[in-house]
Amino acid sequence: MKYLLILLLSLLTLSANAQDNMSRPAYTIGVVPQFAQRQLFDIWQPIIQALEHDLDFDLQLVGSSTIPVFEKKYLAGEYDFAYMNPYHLLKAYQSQGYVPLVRDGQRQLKGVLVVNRNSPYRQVSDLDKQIIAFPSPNALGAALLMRADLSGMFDLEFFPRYVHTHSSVYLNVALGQAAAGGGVLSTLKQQPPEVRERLRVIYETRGMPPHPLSAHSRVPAKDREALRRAWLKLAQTDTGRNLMVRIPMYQPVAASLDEYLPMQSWGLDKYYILE
Amino acid sequence: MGLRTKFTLLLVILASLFLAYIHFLVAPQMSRRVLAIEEQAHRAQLQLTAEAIAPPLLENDLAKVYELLDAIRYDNPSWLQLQLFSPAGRRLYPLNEPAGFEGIYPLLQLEEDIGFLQPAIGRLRVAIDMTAGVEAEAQLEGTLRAALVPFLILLLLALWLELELRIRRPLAQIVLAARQLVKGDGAQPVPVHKRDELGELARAFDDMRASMQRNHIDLAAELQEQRQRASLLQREKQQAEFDAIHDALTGLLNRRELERQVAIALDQVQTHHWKHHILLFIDLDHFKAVNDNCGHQAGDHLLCEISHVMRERIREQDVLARVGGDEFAILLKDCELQMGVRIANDICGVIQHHRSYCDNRNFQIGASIGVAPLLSASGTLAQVLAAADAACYEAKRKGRNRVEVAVADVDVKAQSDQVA
Repeated sequence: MKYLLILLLSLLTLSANAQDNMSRPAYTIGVVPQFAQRQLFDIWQPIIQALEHDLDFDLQLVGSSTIPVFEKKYLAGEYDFAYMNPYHLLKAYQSQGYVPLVRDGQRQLKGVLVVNRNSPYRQVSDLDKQIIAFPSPNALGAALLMRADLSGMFDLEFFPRYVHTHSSVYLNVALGQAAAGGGVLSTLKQQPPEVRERLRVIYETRGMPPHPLSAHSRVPAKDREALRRAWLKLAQTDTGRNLMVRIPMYQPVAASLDEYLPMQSWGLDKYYILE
Repeated sequence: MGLRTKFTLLLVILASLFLAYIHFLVAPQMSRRVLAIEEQAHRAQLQLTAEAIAPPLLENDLAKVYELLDAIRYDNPSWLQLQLFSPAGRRLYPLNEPAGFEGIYPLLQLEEDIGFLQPAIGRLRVAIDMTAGVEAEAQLEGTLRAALVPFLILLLLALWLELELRIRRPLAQIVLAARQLVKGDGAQPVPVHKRDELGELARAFDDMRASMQRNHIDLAAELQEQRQRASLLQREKQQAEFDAIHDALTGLLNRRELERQVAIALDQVQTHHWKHHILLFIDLDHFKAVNDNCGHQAGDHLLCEISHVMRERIREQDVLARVGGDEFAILLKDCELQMGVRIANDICGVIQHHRSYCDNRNFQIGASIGVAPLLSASGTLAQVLAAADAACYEAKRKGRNRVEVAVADVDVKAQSDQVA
């Protein structure tokens, strides 16, 4: 009888603890798969763990295999928080009411058009009817904005080749498999020196604020703000800064929707390709 | 060369042949096999690599291709150089010209097309440092030797011991036993307890030895008997030979031997003219009276005494024989006629003065002696004997107890008369 009582008490204690854990809400956070899944988790998991110390809720990192899958998920509102590109933010805002919380304040997102250093191409018009490599059709700076500029502003006729990643774009150009390639400055800087020294930038697109961490409209304002504060607070520490550099987000600042809305007039939808 | 040396030599030759077989036939084949397996493994790895990079290469995802190839190179440190070429022959991987690998040996170079389409979407070329493979091969060979050599030594030792204990030592025991048996020692043990052919041989040898020992005893007895018999026969033969030429009563030579000796002497005389031999023919006078009155035994005794007397009157080399009942003959060798007549007269005188007593009676006997010299002109043996006999008869006829020389020699006869 005594033992039965002890057993019941133990069970009650366990269920009470479980109740305690369950009382802390958990939000999902999605990250655009710019890199391999493992690399994304390596970058983001330490940041999330650091953030959770200052939060009343947990964050659960949710991966997605490809960018189209990621797009489908945020368009369906699956993520409570999401790190995405500015164009995605516009779409997410329009469909699910996602709003930006923080972004990198040090740089602007710009597409760059690179050619092989030894190639004869000096300007955009030299690339008439040439193969141009892009990571994917809707990669914002590297492909979407670049294609909008090349076709809309330069009226250039070219053959796009989609090679999945920025690194592949640079390699294709470096190895002469494509006449030119669309990328962004940040990824170009991350390439190894032997790749970079074979490339030459011949064009930069218009600039825009870089990727924001955004929140779904269903997330209570206090939790959104809590996350923004926690993020900015973490960014003040050396540890946090070192972690966020890897996103890359060199100097996190608070982001507002107004910074992104002007992009709506750039007509990017025309070049967006549904996959 | 003994069996032990032969066995050892044979085992050493066998071991050498086996090691040579391993060294020259098995080990190289094994090495080739090891290298072939190694090459097959690298080729399979290269095929897997080609299959792995085919999808990203098809989509021009060179970053993915680089990521995969970097990882594969990291996983295969022996792949000194891994290169990817486009269908046009342009190098896609690595970005920079790869470092050379001169001086590295052994080197294996493999190529593999990517994708199953023709033309292929790319080509992989790899240069592999096979040092590890060669080391593995050497290690395997070393391991094989290390495993085989002690085993071989143990096997040879076991074989040697087996041959030594099962064949050589039992054989040596049997050989020793055989040698001892020759020396007369039949107690040397042989391995009769063994169940093989050598045991059979030992048992057969043991049986043979036992049989020989039995036969040896029988033979010794028979030999003793034969010796005794031979000795007896020898004595009998000597007796027979003696009897053949001697007179049984007196022990003097008999007539046959006398004739033989006279024939030899006659031959000498006729061959060498300076030789002079004399033949005396003696007939006892009145001997019959002794025989008749005193018996044959007394007569025989008298004959023996007379023989003795005569023997004392002649030289050792002279021949005395009994040629009949009371007839004797003497061959005087190397004797002139005059001496012969003198001896005859001496004998005649001695016999005349010899006295024989029987039944208190005194008997006197005499001797009629014929003397015949052996001359080159004497003719045959029979003629010589006849001449001597005739001379004896002449002496008897002339009154007994006298010496008469054979009539053939007139001069001598005259001398004889003078002597008489």
